[in-house]
Amino acid sequence: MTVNYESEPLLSVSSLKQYFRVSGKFTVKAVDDVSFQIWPGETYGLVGESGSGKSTIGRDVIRLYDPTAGKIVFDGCDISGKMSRSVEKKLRTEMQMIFQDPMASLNPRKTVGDIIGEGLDIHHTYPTREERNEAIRQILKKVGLSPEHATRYPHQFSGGQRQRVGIARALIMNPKLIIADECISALDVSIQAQVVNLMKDIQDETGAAYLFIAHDLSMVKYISDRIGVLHLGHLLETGTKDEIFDHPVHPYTRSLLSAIPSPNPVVEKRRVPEVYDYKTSRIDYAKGTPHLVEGTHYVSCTDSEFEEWMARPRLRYDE
Amino acid sequence: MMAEENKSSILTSESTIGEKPIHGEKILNIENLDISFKTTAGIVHAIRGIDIDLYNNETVAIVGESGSGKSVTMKAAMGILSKNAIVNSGKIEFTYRHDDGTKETVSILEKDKKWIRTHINGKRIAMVFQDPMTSLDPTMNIGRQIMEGMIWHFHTPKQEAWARAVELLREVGIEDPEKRMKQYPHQLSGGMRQRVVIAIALSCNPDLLICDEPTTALDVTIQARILELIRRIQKERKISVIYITHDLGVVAKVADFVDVMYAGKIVEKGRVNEIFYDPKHPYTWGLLSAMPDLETDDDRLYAIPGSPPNLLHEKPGDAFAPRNRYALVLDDKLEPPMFQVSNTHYAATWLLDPRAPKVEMPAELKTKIERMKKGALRYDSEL
Amino acid sequence: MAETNRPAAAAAAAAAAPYVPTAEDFTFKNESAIEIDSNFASQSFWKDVRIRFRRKKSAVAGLIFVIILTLMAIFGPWMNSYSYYKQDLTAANLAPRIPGIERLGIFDGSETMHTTSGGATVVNGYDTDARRNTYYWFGTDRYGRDIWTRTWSGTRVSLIIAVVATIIDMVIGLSYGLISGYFGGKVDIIMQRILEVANGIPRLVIVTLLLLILKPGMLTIIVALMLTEWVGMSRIARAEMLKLKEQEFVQASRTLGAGSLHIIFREILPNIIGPVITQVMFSIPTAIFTEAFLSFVGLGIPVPQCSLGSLISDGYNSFTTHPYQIIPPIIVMALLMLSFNLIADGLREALDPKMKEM
Repeated sequence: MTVNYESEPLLSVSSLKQYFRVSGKFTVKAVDDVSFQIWPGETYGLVGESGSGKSTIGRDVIRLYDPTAGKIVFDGCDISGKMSRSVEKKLRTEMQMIFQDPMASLNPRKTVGDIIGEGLDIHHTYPTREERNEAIRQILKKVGLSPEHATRYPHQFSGGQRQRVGIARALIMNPKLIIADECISALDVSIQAQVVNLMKDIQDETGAAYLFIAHDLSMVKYISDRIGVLHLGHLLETGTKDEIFDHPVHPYTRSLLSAIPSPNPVVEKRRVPEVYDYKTSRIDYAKGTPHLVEGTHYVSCTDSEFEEWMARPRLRYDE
Repeated sequence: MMAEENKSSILTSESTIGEKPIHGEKILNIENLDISFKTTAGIVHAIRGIDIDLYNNETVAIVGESGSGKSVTMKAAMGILSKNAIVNSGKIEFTYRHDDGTKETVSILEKDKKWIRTHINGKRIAMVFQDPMTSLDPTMNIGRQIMEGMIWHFHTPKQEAWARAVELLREVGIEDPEKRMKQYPHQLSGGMRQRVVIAIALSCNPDLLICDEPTTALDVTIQARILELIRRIQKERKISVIYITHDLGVVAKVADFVDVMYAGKIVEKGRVNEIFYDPKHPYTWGLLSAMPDLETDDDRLYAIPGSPPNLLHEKPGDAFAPRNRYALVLDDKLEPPMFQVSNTHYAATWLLDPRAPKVEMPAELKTKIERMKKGALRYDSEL
Repeated sequence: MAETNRPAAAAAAAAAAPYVPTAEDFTFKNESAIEIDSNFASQSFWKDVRIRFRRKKSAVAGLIFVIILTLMAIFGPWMNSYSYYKQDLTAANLAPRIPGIERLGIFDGSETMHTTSGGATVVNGYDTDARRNTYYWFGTDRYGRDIWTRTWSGTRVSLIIAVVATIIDMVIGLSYGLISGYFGGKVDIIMQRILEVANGIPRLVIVTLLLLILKPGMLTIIVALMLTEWVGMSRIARAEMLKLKEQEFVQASRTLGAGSLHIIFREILPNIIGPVITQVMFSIPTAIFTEAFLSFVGLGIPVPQCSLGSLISDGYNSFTTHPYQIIPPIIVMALLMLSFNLIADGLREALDPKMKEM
């Protein structure tokens, strides 16, 4: 899939903020001033540890949450504030989500067919029951399940099969953007590869863009075109995957890359990951501004930090 | 599962990496273990005749997907199988040393649960679970939780237990242990909590530590440090560790020996280098190639098709055959025995039979392993 | 390896599988034969529930008792020629007499009367020519009404009140709890305060006030039960809703643009059927007891109609002289309450197994 970066971005998120008020005095800044774009047909990987705000961003974009501040433009429509009926319908059909937990994301009391067909039923996409059922059969085949599975219940399937159902549910709406929120982290290794392959096939076929949210860097590198590194609600570094992996600038990115485990016993037993602790690093994320490294590669820092980090020897993490 | 007629067909390995005599005392001996569960849906044959040996001062990793039976095996070893489990055959022998140095071997399956609880669990065999939040008691401070085992098993006086608990916290890398002793689990970060869990596990000086997915609930940057900690402690204390995991990255980091489980059977076992640099079983091939490394830029990942079998409906032959692209006609009829590859490396696949067609591992995997070996050579001249 | 230690087992395996591989066996299976996705079918949820329920003997016993008592409540009053309201003062206070068993010396219509001086005499009210062939299986009350007929028609009334009241409670409580839990925030706070006020007024006060407006009778008791009993159901519905509404399948519905009503009733409601049924089963005996209590204190069913409570109340008045009059309704009520509780217990475990299967 080649992406035309000259065109208008499909999704444009600017200065997104999401604060959660815990108590009168205490507010959690889950997402703080995050901006990024996704172009049609592209996969944007968002990585970070738990609590970094990556899932919150996904939920803000698809409007499961109401953002505290910032602007989200999807395919030319502003979807960050109160939406008109037509914009809401566009959002609910053209942007879809694949969830993390294949057990929890399918209603255990509904048949697989009804789960997949839910979007069609809500938006009355097909005039007759027959056409609807045919569409469900087609989509089941596409995700590698048998059409007869439509009458079964989720618990009769294995984790990987269930995640295929979740993908089918998103796919049947012909979305332009799919938010994949940790959609493979609950699956076994051999099944992860199946699901990732399926997602790549779908992208080749339909040209859908992905916002791929994950903590597993090796998978993110494999599937993404561009990557954003998130920590404590701040987008620290973003760029194409080669830019990030060949030349990580931010110390957090470097520590994250150095922590990627590799299935290579001799190397793995001797690997010493770089240690990074925000509290002792004397970096203040709030003071950072985007600095251009090269191409589309930006890092968020202060001017002096930028000079210091750029002066360090390049590191390549290639095992 | 090695029948007489297959003795002739045992292959000897042409490439074994870093072979030297190993093994100290055997501390855990699981033989021909076979376990079923009586469920409302019927009998589930979860463990189908497995052998696991564990020697002193070694780390074994049991790798498998969910439902492969790896957790059940360990529950059996700890004598905490649920009530509806039926042990069809097999034995589990655990050997430990008393304080005066005398050896004792107990047969776990023959002892009653209460005896195991007071004499083995927590004292001789300790466990580290996946989620530190659920294995810690939220209403009790850290100190009390660490001291509890010592007081319960050894009647250690409180002051002494306190001192040892502080010592343990220091050992697992927690700064300012005196202060932490009075804190509660929710006041600690995820990595810190798992360190506390490890300290609790170590509090009674166990001979064997069982780690069930100890890092899956933690962030990548913390994972490596926890694994290093366990490895360091294993070396320092000269204890044995069993890892139960599905993550090959974890296996590569910590294991000396690997048992690959599939559908209740061990399909390949060997030293960690043999499994990673010279895998023989198609399932292991699949596992290794399903995980992208940073060089993987192919269009598609090699994935094992299908889903793991439902052990409620047992089929004759090799359970992996329906998902195996190298399956032989024989695989549907007869279960493959363990073929010997080297004196430590075994694999249960008919492909190792001399009558079978010569099969190479998938090309993608081959180049990947070449790459891995090259990377390894930089560190290890033995290779 | 294993074979050295277990020659016997190896031999057994060889005997069980005498198959000798041929050259043909060492060829590849057709590559297209790889089954891409064989189904993982386990059994349906409700079949699992049935099996687990059946395994619990006490729950099955409870179910059998409830069925028997219900059948008796339907057919019992017709099983002899007496009616529940027909008085026959000449036949008042007759002890139970059952054909056949009377020959054994029990249930032969005789009863021991204690006098104030401490003596005891055995009397038998059937020892007159006119009643030589009459049988009152459970005896008669002080107006000469057949206790057998009255017990079963009382059971019928009690069951109807309990079931109707519980079903209405279920509908009200469920909707209230689901809506309160789903919308949360201010809606939840207001609805919960209303609930607390409703729950705070003692039941007896509500019923007494109601009786000022409505005539005593079945309807009044149902309304009284309705006004007070829905609180438990709504709490359960709200708790389940709070638990489920953050689940990913609910969020998935939201991302598809589902409205609130769709989510509440189509997505979440089917998932809380289990706890709801359990709660219903626990509510029925409570309703039976409440009705009995109200009737006992005289706020219940008007005469000559009867319910288990009014029967117990009547029997209580002559408890010291004719103890047999109180025994049938008490046993029936005790059995009903016990059985419903056993069923509820069994259902709770069957619907929400604590023990994992592996």
